[in-house]
Amino acid sequence: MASIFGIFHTYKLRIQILMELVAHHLENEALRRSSADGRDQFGRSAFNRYYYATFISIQRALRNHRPHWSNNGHAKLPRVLRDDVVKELRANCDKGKKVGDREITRLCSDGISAAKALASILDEGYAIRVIADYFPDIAVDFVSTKDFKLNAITVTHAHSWPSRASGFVAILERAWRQINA
Amino acid sequence: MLSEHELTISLNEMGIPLAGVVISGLETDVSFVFVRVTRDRDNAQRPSNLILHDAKKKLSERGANIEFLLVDDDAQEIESALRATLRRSFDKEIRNLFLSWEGKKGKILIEPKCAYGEDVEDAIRDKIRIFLSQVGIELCSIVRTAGENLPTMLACLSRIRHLAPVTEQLLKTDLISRGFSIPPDDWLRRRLDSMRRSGRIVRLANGSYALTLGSLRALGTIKGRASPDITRMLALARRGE
Repeated sequence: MASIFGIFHTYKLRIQILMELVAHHLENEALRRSSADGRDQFGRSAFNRYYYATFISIQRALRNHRPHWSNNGHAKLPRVLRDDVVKELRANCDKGKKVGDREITRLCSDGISAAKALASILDEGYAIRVIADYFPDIAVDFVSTKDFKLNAITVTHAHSWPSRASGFVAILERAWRQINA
Repeated sequence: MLSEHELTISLNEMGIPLAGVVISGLETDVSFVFVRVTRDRDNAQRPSNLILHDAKKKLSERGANIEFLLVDDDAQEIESALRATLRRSFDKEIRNLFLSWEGKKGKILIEPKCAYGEDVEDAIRDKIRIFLSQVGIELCSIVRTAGENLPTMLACLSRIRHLAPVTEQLLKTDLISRGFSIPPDDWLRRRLDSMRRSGRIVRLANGSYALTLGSLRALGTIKGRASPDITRMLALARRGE
């Protein structure tokens, strides 16, 4: 069982890295092409892939910690982060206060900020992904030779979603390791 | 339920500057509103979170569930300038850096390339503080995504509860197996000593440790499969006691 889970875990991690690579490739392709050459399509697909790379990394972290928290679709994950994750951290923060442990109190409060930040990244990514896939009328705006925008979000910013998310996930995992002891 | 068009009109009337169009989710009733935020001379966010919170509440009374997404070009610009500056000076230590700020207080998240000591940490902090002060932001905290992995007192107490009576050596092995790092020398002994002096644990005649009643109460318990009482019983059974 453990080994099957291990393979699954590695597989997911690989998917996430590959998806980020694909996104980056699409980003460069969109910047290289002309409007007659379908740069809009490449551009919107880049946003879509950056979102999925981010979503998968956050979902994987939640699954490792509390499997039932990750069984929700895209719409629910931000709510799990804002409600369930924050609630658990807050309870442990209180427990830490009771035994006079300032360290765990700090780790949990960092974790709470991280959970909220992750929820915002997911909301932003989800909204942009919906626009990319379902609102072809909203065109990608090529603002310079290095950047393009979809509904006010630049691809440079979308590019930062996965690494930003993995930073905040690390903060969450650090608090979770203490809680799970 | 308000349409995207009605939402846009209402938000315009409230004076909230939108960036792009309002989007409704597919498998959710949430509508996402991108808001262009700017900073006034005191670095306060405009529109403020209070105004946004009120707007959200007013619209929810009319049946709309909205989520504001802030588009903050200034913050992104400051963050990327700070990242470039720090990477230039601490190329060996810093992989990535993120800034989030509220009001005048900035929080920094650093993804390190390697573990670094206090002297480097101080140099990094100074550099960040100087940079941020130039744009009117006060440094509030720096958090590293890796490197800090010592067991907290709460984690130690949880493990002692599970394993009691437990010797220092056994506790150390157990904590390491759970992914914690334990500094060499007598770090753990000093930690145990301080917990004993503050009445969190007792040292038994044979040199092993157990929780005091006060700590047991403070840690509490939960119902269900993950209950510490059950895992404790199972641990005892496994030991054959």
